[in-house]
Amino acid sequence: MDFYDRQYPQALGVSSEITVDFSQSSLDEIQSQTELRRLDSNYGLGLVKRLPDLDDTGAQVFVMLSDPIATQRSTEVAWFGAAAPSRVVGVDRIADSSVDGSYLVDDSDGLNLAIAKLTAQGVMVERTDATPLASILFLSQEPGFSAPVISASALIVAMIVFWLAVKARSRALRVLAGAPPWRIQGQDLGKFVFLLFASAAGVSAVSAVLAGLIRGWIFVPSFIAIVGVFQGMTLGVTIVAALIMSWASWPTADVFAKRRPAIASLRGVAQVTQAVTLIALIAFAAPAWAAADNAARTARQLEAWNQLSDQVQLAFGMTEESLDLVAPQVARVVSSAEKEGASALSFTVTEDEWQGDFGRYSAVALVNADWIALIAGSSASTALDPVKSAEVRELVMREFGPSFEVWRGVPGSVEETVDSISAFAPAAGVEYPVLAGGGSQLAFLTDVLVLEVPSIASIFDPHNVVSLASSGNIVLSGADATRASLRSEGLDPDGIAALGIEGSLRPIYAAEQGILEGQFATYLAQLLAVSLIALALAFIVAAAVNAMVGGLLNARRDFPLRLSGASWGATIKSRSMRDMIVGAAIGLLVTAAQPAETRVVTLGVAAISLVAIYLSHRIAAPLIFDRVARRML
Amino acid sequence: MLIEGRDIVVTIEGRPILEGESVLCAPGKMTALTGPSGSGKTTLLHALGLLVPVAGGTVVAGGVDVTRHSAGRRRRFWRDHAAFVLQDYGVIDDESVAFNVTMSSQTPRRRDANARLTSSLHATGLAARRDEPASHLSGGEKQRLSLARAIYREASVLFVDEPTASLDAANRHAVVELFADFARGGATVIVASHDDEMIEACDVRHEMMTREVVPMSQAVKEEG
Repeated sequence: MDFYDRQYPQALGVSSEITVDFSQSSLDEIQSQTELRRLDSNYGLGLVKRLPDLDDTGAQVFVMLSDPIATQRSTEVAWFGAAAPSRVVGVDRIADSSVDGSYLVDDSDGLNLAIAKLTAQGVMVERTDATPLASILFLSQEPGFSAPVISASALIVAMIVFWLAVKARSRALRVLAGAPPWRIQGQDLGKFVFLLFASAAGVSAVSAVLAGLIRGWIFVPSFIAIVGVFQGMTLGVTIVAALIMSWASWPTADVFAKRRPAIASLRGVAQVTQAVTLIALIAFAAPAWAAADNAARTARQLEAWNQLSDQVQLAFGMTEESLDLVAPQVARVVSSAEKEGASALSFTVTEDEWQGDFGRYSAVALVNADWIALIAGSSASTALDPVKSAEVRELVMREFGPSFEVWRGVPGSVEETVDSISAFAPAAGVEYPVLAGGGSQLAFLTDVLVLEVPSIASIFDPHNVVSLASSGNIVLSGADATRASLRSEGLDPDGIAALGIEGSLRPIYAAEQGILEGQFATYLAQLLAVSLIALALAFIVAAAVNAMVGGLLNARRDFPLRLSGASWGATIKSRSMRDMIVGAAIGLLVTAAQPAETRVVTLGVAAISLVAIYLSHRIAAPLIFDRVARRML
Repeated sequence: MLIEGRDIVVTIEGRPILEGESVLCAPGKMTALTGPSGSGKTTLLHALGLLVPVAGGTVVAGGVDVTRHSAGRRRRFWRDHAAFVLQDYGVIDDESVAFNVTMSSQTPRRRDANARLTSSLHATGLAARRDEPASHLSGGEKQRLSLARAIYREASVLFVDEPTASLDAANRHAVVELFADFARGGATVIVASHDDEMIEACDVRHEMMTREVVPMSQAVKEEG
């Protein structure tokens, strides 16, 4: 429910989400915003843009394209989870934001028509409807989440085996008493299913009331829907498993004729269940671990994005020809900002993109001192280690010499340019953030060659400065300061019009999308950590139930053995050894099928699983023995 | 081995089963625990055999207070001294007769152990069934099989629960004789039973309802 609420805030009554990309349309940023607000108003969509809260980058704010007071909606978004409520702010908040991105939709009635209008103008639109099932399916595609679900299913199966084991003798006795086996099956399964549905309904009702009382009644409809979907899936798995296993252990009086314990028919099923549980655990543990680790790493990268929260990039809403016209002014804006330490350059090319030979480096990043200072705020001071010029001079000359001439626009200046550059590499264990070639995305690299240039103007002429600024590889500090700087260079709306240019040039926050993604990754990392714990718990319970079934199946063996003085280790030796040998074989097979980088984790999980299997037998056997000794079995 | 229960109290799931039961079981004697169904015969037998924990009182075995023995010490008591012949859960159906006697899938390597196996099977009339699965045995044969285990292990105390409940007269008589022989060999035999023939074969009778210990000779006289 928390995940669903995060995706589609229930306090806003969200019914859908659209992701728009205006880059292929003919509309500039301002025209795009105007068009989006027009469609919002015409079709009553109630569009809301989610943005990071610049005062608290761990939080979010919501911007209604319509005025929040006019629409009488909440000025605060309460969450189902423990997070503090988020603010709903006025539309002026998106004045410095990219028009591209995701918008929450309050009323989807006219959404298809609005999407058709946008698509007709070349805008790429992706629609997602807020349904609990879609959110659950989204989560289930993550190995980190599907593993506990599969383990829980195995647990359900194990518990059904346990249920059948407990009832085995009475089922056989009922056959002996003349009851038709199919009627016994019907009665037992009917009772079982009734109890399942009754308990599911009870749990739903109680938890819905608790959710309403503790978190607010606004969440209850979605909560019931999500719990219903989960319970439907669980009940489905349970009933199918119960049907199969009831059929596999068909009640018969033959057990008496053959002088076999009634429970013996379940041995095979119990062993298969344990094997399947083990396979599920081992096969999914490594991907789940990798997913959690990946999400945690992305969450750590949020720190770097937070350092960029006040940085803006320039959004050019004009033709290529117009860019040439404004290039000198833009270069001066960048240059003056750089003199104040407020203009950071980060331009990165990978070896593959460049189709060159970067030696032991996978990428080369051109940065200036402002970028290094900006990132130093989120990293240890030793994030970069100097690299001797002699070590990389040949590489830089070979790979970038010709480009430096082109970028600087001064023939024969390569030697001078290369001499002015300082080289660095990330310190051991440091994933250094650099802006990718196309800007707007941070790459966290351990093997990047960082080339610090004396200044942006020393490497790039004004036309290339515009190119880098438009791609987001040059970022400036502060939206207001940048706006003022643009105005002073005659690049405010009036100034641009005076130059005879149709279009716009405005600052937009560079890190909003990255911060939002980082926030989501942080949340996902927390969920995955919980799901890993759930996976471990599900396996432990499944192993315990299987061990109890094993104990029941072997009670007639364990009891005299123990009374003959056998230790518990000797008493459970045959079945624990068998299970551990099967488990070890499964572990090795699954490990062999895993990618090399996850094999250590897989082997570790397999080893721990084997210990858990042994311990579960070791604990279950005395418990069953005690029940037998007390004549309770 | 002298087995003594003093003021034994046993509760199961909060329900009192025994409330201050005392009994003395001497070596070389068969002691019958008697009484109607539900009087706690089997529970007392289990308490004396350290199968169920006691809530009060003491159990003394061979002069040692074994009431609070740990699981490990209880196991050693079972291994070194005790044997059980129970109504159920006494025989492993899947295993052979020989396994059920030795509790090992390997033939005893030591000559004396092998001889003990053979003699215990002979004594109980199961020598010809040595390699058959125990599931093939009848109820009386299973009781004899449990006794064969006790003979093989040279147990000094034998706990027996309703050994003749489901046996015909011939089998019942054979089993009773075997227990008597075992006691005559010096072992302490404690029998929970309501079978008259079994009780009459015992040297001492502990009546659960009256808590009285009546020597069999006196009991016979009183009844006469």
